[in-house]
Amino acid sequence: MAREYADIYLKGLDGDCIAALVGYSYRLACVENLSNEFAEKARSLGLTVRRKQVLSPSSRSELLRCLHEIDEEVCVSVKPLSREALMTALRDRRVDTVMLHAGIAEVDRHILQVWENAVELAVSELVECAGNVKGLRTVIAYCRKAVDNDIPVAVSSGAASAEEILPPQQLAYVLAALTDVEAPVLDAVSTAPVTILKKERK
Amino acid sequence: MSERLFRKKRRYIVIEGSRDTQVFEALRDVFQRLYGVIGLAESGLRKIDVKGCLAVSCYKEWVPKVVLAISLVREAAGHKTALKTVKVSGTIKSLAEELD
Repeated sequence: MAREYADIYLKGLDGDCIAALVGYSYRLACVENLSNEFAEKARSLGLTVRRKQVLSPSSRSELLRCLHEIDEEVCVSVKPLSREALMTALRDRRVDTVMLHAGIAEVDRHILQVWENAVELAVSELVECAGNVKGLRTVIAYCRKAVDNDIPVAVSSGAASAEEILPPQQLAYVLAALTDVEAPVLDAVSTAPVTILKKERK
Repeated sequence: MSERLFRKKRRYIVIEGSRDTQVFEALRDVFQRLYGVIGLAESGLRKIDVKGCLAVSCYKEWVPKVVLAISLVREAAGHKTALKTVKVSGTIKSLAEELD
Protein backbone atom coordinates (compact mmCIF):
# COMPACT_ATOMS: atom_id res chain seq x y z
CA MET A 1 0.00 0.00 0.00
CA ALA A 2 1.26 3.49 -0.85
CA ARG A 3 2.40 5.71 1.98
CA GLU A 4 0.13 8.48 3.18
CA TYR A 5 2.28 11.61 3.57
CA ALA A 6 1.50 14.35 6.07
CA ASP A 7 2.96 17.79 6.68
CA ILE A 8 1.83 18.62 10.17
CA TYR A 9 2.91 22.23 10.36
CA LEU A 10 2.02 24.98 7.94
CA LYS A 11 1.66 28.55 9.16
CA GLY A 12 -1.00 29.41 6.58
CA LEU A 13 -2.90 27.93 3.68
CA ASP A 14 -3.86 29.45 0.34
CA GLY A 15 -4.55 28.19 -3.18
CA ASP A 16 -0.83 27.93 -4.04
CA CYS A 17 -0.09 25.98 -0.86
CA ILE A 18 -2.90 23.52 -1.64
CA ALA A 19 -1.56 23.03 -5.19
CA ALA A 20 1.98 22.46 -3.84
CA LEU A 21 0.81 19.97 -1.20
CA VAL A 22 -1.31 18.01 -3.70
CA GLY A 23 1.58 18.12 -6.21
CA TYR A 24 3.92 16.53 -3.64
CA SER A 25 1.24 13.87 -2.89
CA TYR A 26 0.53 14.91 0.67
CA ARG A 27 -2.78 13.56 1.99
CA LEU A 28 -2.84 15.29 5.38
CA ALA A 29 -1.82 18.73 6.60
CA CYS A 30 -2.12 20.74 9.80
CA VAL A 31 -2.44 24.49 9.44
CA GLU A 32 -2.09 27.17 12.10
CA ASN A 33 -4.22 29.91 10.52
CA LEU A 34 -6.84 27.97 8.64
CA SER A 35 -9.84 29.46 6.87
CA ASN A 36 -12.92 27.30 6.18
CA GLU A 37 -12.90 28.30 2.50
CA PHE A 38 -9.44 26.82 1.85
CA ALA A 39 -10.14 23.80 4.09
CA GLU A 40 -13.12 22.95 1.84
CA LYS A 41 -11.08 23.52 -1.31
CA ALA A 42 -8.32 21.23 -0.03
CA ARG A 43 -10.84 18.53 0.92
CA SER A 44 -12.27 18.59 -2.61
CA LEU A 45 -8.75 17.82 -3.94
CA GLY A 46 -8.25 14.86 -1.57
CA LEU A 47 -6.19 16.71 1.04
CA THR A 48 -7.43 16.46 4.61
CA VAL A 49 -6.63 19.61 6.57
CA ARG A 50 -6.69 19.99 10.34
CA ARG A 51 -6.41 23.08 12.46
CA LYS A 52 -3.23 23.39 14.50
CA GLN A 53 -2.33 25.43 17.52
CA VAL A 54 1.23 26.08 18.63
CA LEU A 55 1.60 26.99 22.30
CA SER A 56 4.73 28.63 23.65
CA PRO A 57 4.37 28.36 27.43
CA SER A 58 7.06 29.49 29.81
CA SER A 59 5.66 27.63 32.84
CA ARG A 60 3.70 24.51 33.75
CA SER A 61 0.66 26.46 34.91
CA GLU A 62 0.55 28.50 31.71
CA LEU A 63 0.65 25.31 29.61
CA LEU A 64 -2.10 23.64 31.64
CA ARG A 65 -4.30 26.72 31.41
CA CYS A 66 -3.86 26.89 27.60
CA LEU A 67 -4.53 23.15 27.19
CA HIS A 68 -7.73 23.50 29.23
CA GLU A 69 -9.06 26.10 26.79
CA ILE A 70 -8.23 24.24 23.55
CA ASP A 71 -10.79 22.46 21.41
CA GLU A 72 -10.28 18.65 21.24
CA GLU A 73 -10.22 18.57 17.44
CA VAL A 74 -7.24 20.88 17.18
CA CYS A 75 -3.75 19.42 16.75
CA VAL A 76 -1.74 20.78 19.67
CA SER A 77 1.99 21.40 19.45
CA VAL A 78 3.98 22.84 22.30
CA LYS A 79 7.14 24.88 21.92
CA PRO A 80 8.30 24.93 25.57
CA LEU A 81 10.26 27.96 26.68
CA SER A 82 11.32 26.47 30.03
CA ARG A 83 12.39 23.08 31.35
CA GLU A 84 9.33 22.95 33.60
CA ALA A 85 6.98 23.50 30.64
CA LEU A 86 8.92 20.93 28.63
CA MET A 87 8.55 18.24 31.31
CA THR A 88 4.79 18.84 31.42
CA ALA A 89 4.42 18.94 27.63
CA LEU A 90 6.29 15.66 27.20
CA ARG A 91 3.84 13.72 29.38
CA ASP A 92 0.45 15.45 29.00
CA ARG A 93 -1.80 13.37 26.71
CA ARG A 94 -3.58 16.43 25.34
CA VAL A 95 -0.33 17.44 23.67
CA ASP A 96 0.17 15.94 20.19
CA THR A 97 3.76 16.98 19.58
CA VAL A 98 6.53 18.79 21.37
CA MET A 99 8.28 21.10 18.96
CA LEU A 100 12.08 21.12 18.95
CA HIS A 101 13.65 24.57 18.81
CA ALA A 102 16.95 26.29 19.52
CA GLY A 103 15.94 27.38 23.04
CA ILE A 104 14.70 24.00 24.30
CA ALA A 105 16.19 22.67 27.56
CA GLU A 106 18.95 20.09 27.20
CA VAL A 107 17.91 16.46 27.30
CA ASP A 108 18.76 14.54 30.51
CA ARG A 109 17.66 11.37 32.31
CA HIS A 110 14.76 13.11 34.10
CA ILE A 111 13.35 14.20 30.76
CA LEU A 112 13.79 10.68 29.37
CA GLN A 113 11.83 9.27 32.34
CA VAL A 114 8.71 11.32 31.61
CA TRP A 115 8.98 11.45 27.80
CA GLU A 116 5.81 9.98 26.27
CA ASN A 117 4.70 12.36 23.53
CA ALA A 118 6.02 12.55 19.99
CA VAL A 119 8.45 15.27 19.00
CA GLU A 120 8.20 17.45 15.93
CA LEU A 121 11.06 18.90 13.96
CA ALA A 122 10.00 21.81 11.75
CA VAL A 123 12.48 22.81 9.04
CA SER A 124 11.64 26.49 9.67
CA GLU A 125 12.84 26.06 13.28
CA LEU A 126 15.95 24.25 12.06
CA VAL A 127 16.74 27.17 9.74
CA GLU A 128 16.52 29.51 12.73
CA CYS A 129 18.86 27.42 14.87
CA ALA A 130 21.34 26.62 12.06
CA GLY A 131 23.66 29.39 13.25
CA ASN A 132 23.24 28.54 16.93
CA VAL A 133 25.71 25.76 17.76
CA LYS A 134 24.28 24.96 21.21
CA GLY A 135 20.71 24.96 19.91
CA LEU A 136 21.60 22.72 16.98
CA ARG A 137 23.45 20.31 19.28
CA THR A 138 20.42 20.08 21.58
CA VAL A 139 18.01 19.50 18.67
CA ILE A 140 20.26 16.73 17.29
CA ALA A 141 20.48 15.16 20.78
CA TYR A 142 16.67 15.10 21.03
CA CYS A 143 16.32 13.50 17.58
CA ARG A 144 18.87 10.80 18.42
CA LYS A 145 17.40 10.07 21.88
CA ALA A 146 13.90 9.86 20.38
CA VAL A 147 15.05 7.39 17.71
CA ASP A 148 16.98 5.32 20.30
CA ASN A 149 13.93 5.16 22.61
CA ASP A 150 11.35 4.45 19.85
CA ILE A 151 9.60 7.77 20.38
CA PRO A 152 7.91 8.98 17.19
CA VAL A 153 9.57 11.92 15.45
CA ALA A 154 7.57 13.88 12.88
CA VAL A 155 9.28 16.21 10.44
CA SER A 156 7.30 19.13 9.07
CA SER A 157 8.11 22.09 6.84
CA GLY A 158 6.76 24.91 9.06
CA ALA A 159 6.08 26.73 5.79
CA ALA A 160 4.58 30.21 5.74
CA SER A 161 4.10 30.16 1.94
CA ALA A 162 3.87 27.70 -0.95
CA GLU A 163 7.53 28.37 -1.76
CA GLU A 164 8.63 26.89 1.58
CA ILE A 165 6.65 23.64 1.31
CA LEU A 166 9.13 20.80 0.81
CA PRO A 167 8.62 17.36 -0.75
CA PRO A 168 8.18 14.48 1.75
CA GLN A 169 11.38 12.74 0.61
CA GLN A 170 13.37 15.90 1.35
CA LEU A 171 11.87 16.17 4.84
CA ALA A 172 12.69 12.50 5.44
CA TYR A 173 16.34 13.13 4.49
CA VAL A 174 16.55 15.97 7.06
CA LEU A 175 15.94 13.54 9.93
CA ALA A 176 18.28 10.98 8.32
CA ALA A 177 21.06 13.60 8.29
CA LEU A 178 20.54 14.48 11.97
CA THR A 179 20.42 10.85 13.12
CA ASP A 180 23.26 9.60 10.89
CA VAL A 181 21.15 7.27 8.78
CA GLU A 182 21.85 6.84 5.07
CA ALA A 183 18.30 6.22 3.85
CA PRO A 184 15.49 8.79 4.18
CA VAL A 185 13.38 8.22 7.32
CA LEU A 186 10.03 8.11 5.55
CA ASP A 187 8.18 7.11 8.74
CA ALA A 188 8.78 10.66 10.00
CA VAL A 189 6.56 12.08 7.24
CA SER A 190 4.02 9.28 7.00
CA THR A 191 3.50 6.75 9.80
CA ALA A 192 4.49 9.00 12.72
CA PRO A 193 2.40 12.11 11.85
CA VAL A 194 -0.58 10.01 10.69
CA THR A 195 -0.54 8.07 13.99
CA ILE A 196 -0.28 11.32 15.94
CA LEU A 197 -3.30 12.79 14.16
CA LYS A 198 -5.38 9.65 14.56
CA LYS A 199 -4.70 9.16 18.29
CA GLU A 200 -7.62 9.34 20.68
CA ARG A 201 -7.74 12.41 22.82
CA LYS A 202 -8.87 12.20 26.44
CA MET B 1 41.47 5.24 0.41
CA SER B 2 41.50 7.30 -2.69
CA GLU B 3 38.82 7.13 -5.33
CA ARG B 4 41.31 5.57 -7.76
CA LEU B 5 41.78 2.47 -5.58
CA PHE B 6 38.23 1.98 -4.29
CA ARG B 7 35.71 3.70 -6.44
CA LYS B 8 33.22 5.50 -4.23
CA LYS B 9 29.65 5.55 -5.41
CA ARG B 10 28.18 8.90 -6.31
CA ARG B 11 24.62 10.11 -6.15
CA TYR B 12 23.08 12.90 -8.18
CA ILE B 13 20.46 15.26 -6.76
CA VAL B 14 18.34 17.49 -9.00
CA ILE B 15 17.28 20.81 -7.50
CA GLU B 16 14.02 22.33 -8.66
CA GLY B 17 13.94 25.60 -10.55
CA SER B 18 17.11 27.61 -10.86
CA ARG B 19 20.34 26.65 -12.66
CA ASP B 20 22.02 29.74 -11.27
CA THR B 21 25.64 29.39 -10.12
CA GLN B 22 24.83 31.59 -7.13
CA VAL B 23 22.33 29.01 -5.90
CA PHE B 24 25.10 26.42 -5.82
CA GLU B 25 27.39 28.92 -4.07
CA ALA B 26 24.68 29.46 -1.42
CA LEU B 27 24.30 25.70 -0.99
CA ARG B 28 28.07 25.24 -0.66
CA ASP B 29 28.22 28.02 1.96
CA VAL B 30 25.48 26.40 4.06
CA PHE B 31 27.11 22.97 3.71
CA GLN B 32 30.49 24.36 4.76
CA ARG B 33 28.93 26.12 7.76
CA LEU B 34 27.38 22.83 8.87
CA TYR B 35 30.18 20.34 8.14
CA GLY B 36 33.29 22.45 7.67
CA VAL B 37 35.97 22.42 4.98
CA ILE B 38 36.87 18.77 5.68
CA GLY B 39 33.23 17.77 5.25
CA LEU B 40 33.08 19.72 2.00
CA ALA B 41 36.18 17.95 0.73
CA GLU B 42 35.09 14.47 1.86
CA SER B 43 31.57 14.79 0.49
CA GLY B 44 32.82 15.33 -3.07
CA LEU B 45 30.13 17.96 -3.55
CA ARG B 46 30.10 19.38 -7.05
CA LYS B 47 27.74 21.09 -9.43
CA ILE B 48 26.52 19.45 -12.62
CA ASP B 49 24.07 20.45 -15.27
CA VAL B 50 21.34 18.04 -16.34
CA LYS B 51 19.15 19.19 -19.22
CA GLY B 52 19.33 22.80 -18.09
CA CYS B 53 18.48 22.03 -14.46
CA LEU B 54 20.81 22.52 -11.51
CA ALA B 55 21.96 19.23 -10.03
CA VAL B 56 24.61 18.40 -7.48
CA SER B 57 26.69 15.31 -7.09
CA CYS B 58 28.17 13.87 -3.89
CA TYR B 59 29.32 10.56 -2.45
CA LYS B 60 26.48 8.19 -1.48
CA GLU B 61 26.96 8.41 2.30
CA TRP B 62 26.75 12.21 2.21
CA VAL B 63 23.35 12.41 0.48
CA PRO B 64 21.25 13.10 3.65
CA LYS B 65 23.69 15.83 4.75
CA VAL B 66 23.63 17.49 1.33
CA VAL B 67 19.81 17.36 1.28
CA LEU B 68 19.79 18.89 4.79
CA ALA B 69 21.99 21.73 3.51
CA ILE B 70 19.68 22.16 0.49
CA SER B 71 16.70 22.44 2.88
CA LEU B 72 18.44 25.08 4.99
CA VAL B 73 19.25 27.44 2.10
CA ARG B 74 16.91 30.39 2.47
CA GLU B 75 18.76 33.06 0.48
CA ALA B 76 20.68 33.03 -2.77
CA ALA B 77 22.10 36.07 -4.57
CA GLY B 78 20.23 38.41 -2.24
CA HIS B 79 16.86 36.80 -2.98
CA LYS B 80 14.77 34.78 -0.55
CA THR B 81 14.41 31.23 -1.78
CA ALA B 82 13.71 27.68 -0.62
CA LEU B 83 15.37 24.91 -2.60
CA LYS B 84 13.57 21.66 -3.30
CA THR B 85 14.96 18.33 -4.39
CA VAL B 86 13.30 16.66 -7.36
CA LYS B 87 15.05 13.32 -7.39
CA VAL B 88 18.06 11.50 -6.00
CA SER B 89 19.59 9.12 -8.48
CA GLY B 90 22.60 6.87 -9.01
CA THR B 91 23.12 7.81 -12.66
CA ILE B 92 22.86 10.98 -14.70
CA LYS B 93 20.99 9.01 -17.35
CA SER B 94 18.06 8.20 -15.04
CA LEU B 95 17.98 11.83 -13.85
CA ALA B 96 17.69 12.96 -17.45
CA GLU B 97 14.88 10.43 -18.04
CA GLU B 98 13.04 11.78 -14.98
CA LEU B 99 13.30 15.33 -16.31
CA ASP B 100 11.91 14.40 -19.77
